[in-house]
Amino acid sequence: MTMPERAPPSENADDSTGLSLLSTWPRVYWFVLVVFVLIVVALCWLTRAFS
Amino acid sequence: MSVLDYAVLVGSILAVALYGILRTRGRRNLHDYLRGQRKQSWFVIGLSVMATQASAITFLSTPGQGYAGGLSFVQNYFAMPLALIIISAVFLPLYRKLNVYTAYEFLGARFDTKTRLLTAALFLLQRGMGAGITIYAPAIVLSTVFGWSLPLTIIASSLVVIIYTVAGGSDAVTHTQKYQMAVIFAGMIAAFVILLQKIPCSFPDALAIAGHFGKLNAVSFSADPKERYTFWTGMLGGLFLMLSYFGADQSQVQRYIAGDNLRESRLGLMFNALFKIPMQFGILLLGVLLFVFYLLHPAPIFFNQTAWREMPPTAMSNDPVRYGEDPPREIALGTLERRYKEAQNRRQGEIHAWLQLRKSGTAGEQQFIDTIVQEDASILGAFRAAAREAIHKENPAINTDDNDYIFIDFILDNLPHGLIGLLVAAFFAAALSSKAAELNALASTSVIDFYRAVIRPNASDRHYVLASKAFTIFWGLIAMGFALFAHMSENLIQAANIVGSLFYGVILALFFIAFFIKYIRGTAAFCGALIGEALVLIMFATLPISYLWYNLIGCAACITIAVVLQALLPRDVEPRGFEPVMETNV
Repeated sequence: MTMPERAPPSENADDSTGLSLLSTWPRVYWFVLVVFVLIVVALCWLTRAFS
Repeated sequence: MSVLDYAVLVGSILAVALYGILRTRGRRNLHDYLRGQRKQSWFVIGLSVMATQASAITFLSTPGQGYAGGLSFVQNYFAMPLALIIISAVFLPLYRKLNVYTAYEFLGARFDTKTRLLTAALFLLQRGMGAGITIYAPAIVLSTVFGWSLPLTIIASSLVVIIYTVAGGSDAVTHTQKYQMAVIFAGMIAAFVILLQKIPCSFPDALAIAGHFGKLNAVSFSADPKERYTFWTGMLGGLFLMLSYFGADQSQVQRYIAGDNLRESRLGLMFNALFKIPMQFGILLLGVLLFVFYLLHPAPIFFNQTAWREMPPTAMSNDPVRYGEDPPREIALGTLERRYKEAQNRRQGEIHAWLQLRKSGTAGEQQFIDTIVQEDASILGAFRAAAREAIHKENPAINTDDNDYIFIDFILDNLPHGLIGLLVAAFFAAALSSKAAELNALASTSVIDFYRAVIRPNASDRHYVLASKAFTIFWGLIAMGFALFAHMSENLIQAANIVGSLFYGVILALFFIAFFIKYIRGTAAFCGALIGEALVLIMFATLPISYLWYNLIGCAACITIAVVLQALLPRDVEPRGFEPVMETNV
């Protein structure tokens, strides 16, 4: 089984995207959202634990 | 402040300003002057976006907010990651594709000139006032504390920022912001470490004390619309505020479109999406720890100590112990202060006793701490209220909300010389970094959206650069004038956010319509914006709801009215403008 070939990323490839939604960069956006959820959970814990 | 402090303060401010000027010599064309050379990396973009948002108010006033209200203010930033993802995915690619100088150029292409000018005018109005607050905030506090002349402090700091922003344009703003952020972080981290060392109990004990006093209230799911900071105001109202601020406020748009390419700009935004909430949490936690520190150390009865010391010796106050008598019994302020200190000493002893109880796991510790908290609110709170009342009676011009003075009082009384200068430099660095970005954006909008578009469309590039410099000076002087004649009654950071919230909802609505409701044309959008803005201002004057809701109300009102008007107006009268194309499969 071979890995699918990918075109080398062009430096300005993103510049031609026009309006791109979450399909661009999904991993970075999901990572940010997951970190945000973890922060809120931690703050909820802090609020409950010390109230 | 000692000579060493002044040397650190003046040296760091001037060094960064000079660096900005020298680094950006030779920016002669309009593109370089207003948009920068577009070679910035994601890290510089990230710091620049952060520095633009975080003004001196953030570092001077937020610890006071944490001291008084606990961590709840952090919820104001909850929507930021989501908002920045939307901007990174939807707004940013379009701004780069259209190669715009200002965000409002896009509205001109999509709707018409009148809608572009209205949005640009709303931006100039609210950002012009905001720039005044940005410089007023540190000036009022620092001039009071150090006995400097307030007008001189405002004028001196305004001139520094005007000079380097005029000289170097957008790139000078970005380059200076890097080093200003370094000064800010160095100062804040030093203050945090010293505060932790000076609290005479362990960190978990400090958190336990703060928790019992209701200061670790980071998240509230209350649906009460009068509660200012809840999860819902943060996520809904905050989302509209953040979308509008980062997506449609030229002071931010100008920062992140300066990235080397779309990837660098996006990463710069994601940097902020990740680190802004932790940063605000850290600053609020600093305020909460200041609260614990002042529970266990003598705290002034009124944190604006200069104002307190200037009270005449004959000034009297209602006796809080005998409050409610008719006529109220009065005591001299000196007696009030002495009794307050005695009450504080008793409370300190009680808290230390509670910590011992907690350590030994003795039963009844919960009841004990509850009594201490209750006494703090009723007895010590009554003393503080009596002091404020007396100050107001003696001089109504003095702001009796002393939260903005808490952090600077701690710095002056507890930090070594040199570090005091560094912290004061950090406050000024924060003020200058956001003011510079604001002036740069105000000048860009004035030149591109009004001067070049309406007044003088066919002048040379050199002429527009000169006009940009003239507008930077003009807005710098307007902001300086606003700061010189302002009197802020609210906590300063709230004042800045309230001004923003009154306009941002409508501005965001216009961008929302432009992106997503394609059949709406210029006239309907324009009228929707005017009526929506009028509605927000009327509601602000009459309803006691959290200001964050105005972002949502303004946005919803403008969109609804525009939709209704478009249904009533004939469609073929207006030409179709530029329509953004959705490309979801990239």
